[in-house]
Formats: sequence, C-alpha cells, structure tokens
Amino acid sequence: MGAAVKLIRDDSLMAGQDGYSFEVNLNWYRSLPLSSVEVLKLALDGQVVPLDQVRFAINGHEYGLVELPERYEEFWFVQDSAVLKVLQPGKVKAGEAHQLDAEMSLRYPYIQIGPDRFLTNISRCSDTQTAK
Amino acid sequence: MSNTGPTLGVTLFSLTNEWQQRLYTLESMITKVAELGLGPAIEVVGFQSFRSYPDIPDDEARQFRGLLDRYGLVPSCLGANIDIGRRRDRLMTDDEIYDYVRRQLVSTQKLGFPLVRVPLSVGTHALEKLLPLAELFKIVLAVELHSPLNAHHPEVVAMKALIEKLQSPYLGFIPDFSTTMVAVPEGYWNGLRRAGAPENLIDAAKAIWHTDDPIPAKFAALAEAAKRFNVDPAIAGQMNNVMTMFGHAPVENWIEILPYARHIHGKYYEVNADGVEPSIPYAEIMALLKRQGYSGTISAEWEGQAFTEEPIGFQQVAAWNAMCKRLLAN
Repeated sequence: MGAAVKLIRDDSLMAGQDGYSFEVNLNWYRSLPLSSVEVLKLALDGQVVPLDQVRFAINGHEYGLVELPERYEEFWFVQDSAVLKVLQPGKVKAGEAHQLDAEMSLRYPYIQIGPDRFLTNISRCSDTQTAK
Repeated sequence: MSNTGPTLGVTLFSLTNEWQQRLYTLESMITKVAELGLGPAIEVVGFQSFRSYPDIPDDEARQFRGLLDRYGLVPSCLGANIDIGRRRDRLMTDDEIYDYVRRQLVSTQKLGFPLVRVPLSVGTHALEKLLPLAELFKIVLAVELHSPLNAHHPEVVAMKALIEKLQSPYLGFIPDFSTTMVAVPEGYWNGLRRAGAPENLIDAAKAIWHTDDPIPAKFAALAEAAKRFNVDPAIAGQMNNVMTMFGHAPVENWIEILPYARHIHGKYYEVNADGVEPSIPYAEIMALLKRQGYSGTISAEWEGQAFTEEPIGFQQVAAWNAMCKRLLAN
C-alpha cells in the first residue's frame, strides 16, 4: 500500500510552555489499535529526541510511548492525527523554523505472516516547519 | 435464486486515497457515489469509515441508514476484521475472536447490512458459534477468499466442508478476483523499479509468478534469482509479497465456490483508457457469473492505491462500472 499521506502533518509544529508538539498521520487505510503503533525515532534539527520525553495524545487521552502496547482496545481513526508532545521546554519558540525527523512503525494486527509475526510497515518523514 | 443478474456497486475502500487525504466525510463521499451513479450496492470497511467502530451507537447507525435511503442506495456488505495480534504478548483466544466478531455483527445489524465479511482467520470454531446470532439477525457470515486463498487452498476446502455440513443460508463466501489473475499489475513492478530492482530480476520474478510451484518454493527461487543478479536481499524480500498478493488460479475454479457466494469483491488495479483491466480477465469472469446465474452483489474494489497516492478512486470506480455493465450486457 502506498503512502497516501505524509507521516508528519503539514504546519503542525507548535511551541508551548512545557516543550513543543507536532502531529502525525496514520499511514494505513483502516483504524488500528494503539498497540499497533511504535514511534521508533524522533529528531529535532538532527538531534535525537529521548523517547521517554515524548507523549502520544489521541482521542482526548495522553500516553507515554511505553504505554501504547497496553492500549489494544483503543483505536487510532484513519482521519485523525495523533499529537506527539516533546517535553523539552525552550527548544522550539514560535516563529522559528526547525527540522523534524520521525520514524514510526505500524504492525497490522490482522495480517499474520508467521506464527508470531505480523505484517509491519515503517514510515519515515523529514520536514522543516515554522513553529506557531 | 431468480436469475436477474448481478447487482453492481462499490466498496468505499476504493476511495481510500480520498478518505486518507480527508477530502470527504462519510456523508459527502456517499453523496458523490450516488451522484455519479456508482451504486446501488454500498460496501463499507467498518474500521475504515466509522470512528466509533467496532461498537456503533444507535444514532450514528440511524444516520447512516438514512443517508443510504435518501439516495436509493442499498447496503451490501460490512467488512469486519479480526485483530488477532492486537496484544503484543499473545494472540487472541477462540473466545476473544468470537466476541470481537460478535460486537461487529451487532454493528452490522444496526447499520442495516445484510452480510458481514469475515476473514478466514475466524476459524471454524468461532464461525460455528457465531451462526445462531447471525441467523437471529438474518445476517450472512461470509468468508472472504482473497489471494492466496483460492478454491483449492486446504483451509478453504475445510471451510467449504463446514459450510456444506451446516447447510445454513446465513453462511457463505466472498470470492475476490485477486486469486484469478493473468498478470501482476504493472504498477507493482514500477514500485519495485523505483526501489532499485533491476529488469533482469523483474523478468525472473514474472516467470516464477507464472509457475504452479508452492509458495515456499517460489520464495526460494526468488532469493536464488536475487543472488544470481547480485541484488540487495531486502529488495528480493519485498518481492515475496507478489507471490501471495496476486494468485493465478483459473477462472473456472470459481464454479465450485459460486453456489456459496453471497457477495463478490470485484478486485482490480487499473481499468485503462480502453476500458480493460490488463491483469484480471474480467470478460471471462463476467461471462462465467452470467452462465452460473450469480445474482448477488459485486463491489468495485479498486486496490490501485497500493501504487499511487493520486485521488483517482472515483474515476477508477466509474471506469470499472462501465466495463462491467458492458460485459454483462454482452
């Protein structure tokens, strides 16, 4: 399946009090349980972001990345974006341009390809955005 | 069954690019389907089109039924999924599979669909357990036969035996034309070319695809060809998909399945400017359906979004619709 949408949503970088955030799109044709989602890598201006400082916000809830595997009853709807919040204050200020790099894997939990293996797809995206 | 011929329609899955790019809401998409005359049969993948799926609230279901009624469209099939690997630590148990499909069956009933698509992974145990509820709701449980699940696949043979044994009008199959193709779609090879696959490897893969060897033997032959042409094993690995996604069983294989076919996925990748799908023998398939007296629904199921992000779903569904009407009129 091709990538009908970019992983990082256009014009979504926001500067905030506790850090900064940007949005990611679901690169698949159907909604998936949150347990299917793994954020593999994030970088800001080429500098790797520690993943324990990242929160994943969706459906009015917010989770640490390590909590996602337990959320197998909650879905990420195809037409929604998830917000990645990076708890690093001061790194991004409104009006500044920054380079974002993201890598996320989706494991399709209904497409089994081996005894304990499921079809998995990795999306990567690099984008420079001006923070709001 | 009266021989009135098939009823054509569309699965909204064909409009995945438009949907993912948020160019339509469910309401505006169905409105456009109606305006372009691409119905009357409407199929929906539950986990694609409904935010609240798998448990649709009553008012949302009522709105959906009202929308179809307004345009004279008829619900054909709701696509259910079984997220058997939703937990990282273990697979779903049979009881969990049963309950997951049960929830989707309740939503099928609320939304007014007469039939629910279930994957073969439902298994004979859960399917038998679900049948009384399906019969109560008067909803057909239909197992999808997508490549590599052709009529002679051992699991399909076992499922057919169960359906024959239970003799219920609420159990059946959904044939998908991905199992009876004559060529791999050119868009697939173009994707591999972009990934760096050389022409000689693609030629070798085409030849391997056409053989009747079992799938593991085809994987081995591909790996061997990749080595011979000195190609990155990752590219060869990607090519393994081609052997499972597209099947080349003869069209006549559908004859033994058609008595149990309750709906059909009119799979295609491209209807070209000449009104032809080069990789699927539609003329032969439509002639067979007419000859066998199939009078159920057929959805246009465009899967060309595997090769392009262009929002050309409506154009492709219209082209499919014209092609099928022409072939059925012959």
